[in-house]
Amino acid sequence: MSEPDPDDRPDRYAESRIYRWLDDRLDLERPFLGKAFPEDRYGSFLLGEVALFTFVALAVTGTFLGLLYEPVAAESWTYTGQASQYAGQTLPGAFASVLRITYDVRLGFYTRMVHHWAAYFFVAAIGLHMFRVFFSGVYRNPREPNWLIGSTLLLLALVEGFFGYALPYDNFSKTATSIGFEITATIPYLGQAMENLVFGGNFPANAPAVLARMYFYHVFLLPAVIAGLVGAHLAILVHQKHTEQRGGRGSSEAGPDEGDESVIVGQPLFPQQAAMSLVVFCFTAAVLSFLAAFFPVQRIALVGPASIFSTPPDVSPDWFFMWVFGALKLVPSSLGSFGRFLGGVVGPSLLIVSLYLWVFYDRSETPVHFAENPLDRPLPTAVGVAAIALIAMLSIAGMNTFVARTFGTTTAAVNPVLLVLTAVVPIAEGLIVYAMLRRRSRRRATGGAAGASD
Amino acid sequence: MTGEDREEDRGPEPGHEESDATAGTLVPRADGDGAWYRPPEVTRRNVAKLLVGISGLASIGSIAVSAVTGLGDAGLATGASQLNYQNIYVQGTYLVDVDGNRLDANSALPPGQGKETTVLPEMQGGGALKVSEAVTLLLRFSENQFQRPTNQAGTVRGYVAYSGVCTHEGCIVSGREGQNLHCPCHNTVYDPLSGASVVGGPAPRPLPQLPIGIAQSGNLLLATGPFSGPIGPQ
Repeated sequence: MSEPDPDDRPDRYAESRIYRWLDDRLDLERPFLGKAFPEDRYGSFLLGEVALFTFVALAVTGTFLGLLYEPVAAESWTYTGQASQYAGQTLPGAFASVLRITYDVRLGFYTRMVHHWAAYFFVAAIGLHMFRVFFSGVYRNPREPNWLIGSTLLLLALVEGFFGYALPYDNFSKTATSIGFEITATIPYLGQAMENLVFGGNFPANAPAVLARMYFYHVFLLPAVIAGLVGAHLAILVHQKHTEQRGGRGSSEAGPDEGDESVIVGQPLFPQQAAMSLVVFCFTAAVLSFLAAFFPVQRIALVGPASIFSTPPDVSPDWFFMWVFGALKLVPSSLGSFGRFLGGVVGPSLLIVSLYLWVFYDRSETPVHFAENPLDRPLPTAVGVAAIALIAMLSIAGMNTFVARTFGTTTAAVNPVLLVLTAVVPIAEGLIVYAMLRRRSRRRATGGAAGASD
Repeated sequence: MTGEDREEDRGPEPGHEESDATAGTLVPRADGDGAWYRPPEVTRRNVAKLLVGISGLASIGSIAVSAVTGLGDAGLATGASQLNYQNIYVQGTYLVDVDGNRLDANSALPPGQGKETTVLPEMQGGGALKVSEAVTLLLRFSENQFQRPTNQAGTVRGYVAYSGVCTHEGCIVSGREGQNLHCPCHNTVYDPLSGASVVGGPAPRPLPQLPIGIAQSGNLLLATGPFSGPIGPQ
């Protein structure tokens, strides 16, 4: 097995003075342009890139929106635009500015919808990326730091979603923000202090102060932290290098052995992987654009501005908060205020904390550089499946209005059923997966060569 | 794979190398498994490091605590509300609609149909108190329909009034499910004929009832006392 020669640089760009100038100073080839991206049979290694590109889309569209938005909750703006039912009315500045962006600014509705769908995809891509990392077991030594940073990014993306939802100051916004405010208050001893610290006033009574603060969080503080953590995530990735899937090297070449952990085999960042990334970027942009053009949701003109007198019917959060919404709905009335604390704070926190602690439970003393087959890891795979089932069940409970409507009954009647299912289904699915995978590994151990055929 | 594949050395495995500067004397482990380790030594350098660490943490910590409590106090300064269930309505406060007009008991709602409307307390000097804690639901049924635990003395001519703020997470109970009151947020259902007790969903307490009566002059609806309990989630 031959070691690659570090000085064996491609001379493709030798004629480019710009390349040589940069390479002399930054040593482009070694750490950056030559970074190896391993072969990936499933395309799952690209999910992180999708998350990155949606973040770029969020930053670009967010800049456009930020220049036109006004974080004012007071009724300060006499609307004179094209949304005829509000013509001549004095509206909260925030609501009116979003109306204006939506109906009166060229490319405004499109940009707002790209921002909206990119936010949905940002959370979704992070989630799927984490599924890939989780099920293939590559969060273990030495990549725990990146799992922890990634979990933090997921959390921050959710919080960004919460603050962003507040900004248009329509009646959905007001409802969601006051629920977040009331959940915060349920924390024993610290509730009041947390409310003051995070929201900076009572909501909705002090909405002008609270909204300005949400704006600051949403457009400056959290994006700055997210961008910094994304940078750290990528720097660690470059330093630690990718993991590889087994069997991707092709044994006929005179390359390293299949199982050699000391090297990584893949395509260089430039130009091969860069071309692939460009395709992924264009595809992401195309999907966002398509959804923005054909599925313009969040029609704030129909919902109306924040009102203290009403809650709109069928109010529901963004999909990534549906599980928290479900937890809040499922808690039985008999548990009283403590039930609200359980459903709104304890339950979600337990899931998030276990996300962080998992890497310290399922750990490896020696460095792991190959992605594993999830079917070979009964316990982690079963736990992952159970966790997904739990989130799914809670999300269904969050939509209990529609469940009840589908079965032609009341939410009061479906709630006990959903509560039992939420407790039973994840455990049952986890146990089934665990039993099946254990059986599979026993069969392979005893069957020997016979089992190698599948 | 093609010939353009890139091979990169993963580099040496990161190890735990002993640094000479902190190395102590090797001694065998007490549990006798044959391993050797270097116990930390009490040196001038180690004591100095410890003291620098403690003082650094203390200075950062004290500034952080001051800053965080300062932020919290500043939030409180804009957030404290003087309103509570005992002073939003008092005896004799008129019920007004959202435009501030007092309500005539003959015409505010049709009798016996269970219809509802949103009302507010009248402020001193007139006008509606437009804050979310004060949002009140006024309903009108038939006089003999109410059951316990409704405060029957607090109803008048089939009118009954409850706080409009859900006791679960503070949404406005602005939906109906048949005769019952329905909160659109998390689907709590309250029975307005039984003291707004919870008949479905997660809310922990019934909606507080506002005792109402009719003014001696002018047939106007007014409160005969404060709300029966705290408003919204507690």
